Amino acid sequence: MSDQQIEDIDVNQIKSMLDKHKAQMKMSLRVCAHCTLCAESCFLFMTKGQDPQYMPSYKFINSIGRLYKKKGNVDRQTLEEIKDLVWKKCVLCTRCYCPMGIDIPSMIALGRSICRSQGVLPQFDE
Amino acid sequence: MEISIHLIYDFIGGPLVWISFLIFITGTIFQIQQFFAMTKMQRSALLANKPPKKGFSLKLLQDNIKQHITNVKNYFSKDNFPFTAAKIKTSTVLGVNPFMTIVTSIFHVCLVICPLLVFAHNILLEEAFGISFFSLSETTTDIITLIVLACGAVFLFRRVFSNRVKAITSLYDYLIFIIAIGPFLTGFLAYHQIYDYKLMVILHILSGEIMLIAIPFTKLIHMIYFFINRIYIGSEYSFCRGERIWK
Repeated sequence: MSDQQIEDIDVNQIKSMLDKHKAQMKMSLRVCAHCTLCAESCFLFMTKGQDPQYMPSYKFINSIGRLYKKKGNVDRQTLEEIKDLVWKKCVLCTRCYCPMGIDIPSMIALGRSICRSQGVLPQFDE
Repeated sequence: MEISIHLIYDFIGGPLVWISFLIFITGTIFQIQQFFAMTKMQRSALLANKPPKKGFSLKLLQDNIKQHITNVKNYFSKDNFPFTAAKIKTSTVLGVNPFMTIVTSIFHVCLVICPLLVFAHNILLEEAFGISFFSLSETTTDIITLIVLACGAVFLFRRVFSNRVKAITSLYDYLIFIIAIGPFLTGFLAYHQIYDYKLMVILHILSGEIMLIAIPFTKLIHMIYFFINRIYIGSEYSFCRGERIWK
């Protein structure tokens, strides 16, 4: 990660956004048993050839989970990857089911908010 | 060598048992306390723009349980009929993923009842406290252990070979798997005196203690959080129309 890239991102802002939801994030990441029983509840998973990248758990672990583990210290490239997960691979229909009761949509929504706060958001012409 | 094995056995079978139970109980209480401390906001209070009600409300709990019973009644009501196989197949996790739902349910029930009702454990409880649970026959607990191991084998197979499970699997998942299955595998080997009996008993006690210590501080906390999360947190899939909100 170059210094220029870090400067691009307001890490403190991401940190404060993460801190507001720390309790829920921590519990959600900890309780997820990686069972993948959530997969079929995602219509995108079902219609995209059951690609694991469309599983609600995959999307949540690799977006908000990644931000949480890195404590917000991420570069623009990482946020671009997260953007792909939280916008292109999820439409926030809120139909995902988790046996443990993890509120995956709220985690994805938080991922979107964090990306948006850093100017990372989907463009219609990309 | 003999003396050192006895010393290890005495420590693992003596003080370490108490230490691990103490860590398990205090750790679990701490985690439950943390859960309630982190979910003080209530759905109804948030909607009414009021501060959350403090303290335990029996009425709220009663209301929640009543609502849940109504929900179940409605689910099975005439309006919801014909309660067809097609409906179950499309709208429940049992219907969508029957094999895993059944395997995981059986696994978890057996995993909890086996250590409580195994004859040898109850003798130890009787010796320590003068009281014990009732025991199942040794053949029954042997079968239950085999069921746990078989279900564990299914989980392991999925972790290694299923693309979707592999996509979110890390080494930590294998570690949790070993911690959960270890006591059952070593218990089975010790009971049937396969390989070195003394070593197996020591490994069995040690793996049981590791599991107890690990429950409050690892992913195994889902043993507790599954219930309190699904009961208390307000969500579409809440068991009792949960009221609490993360904050």
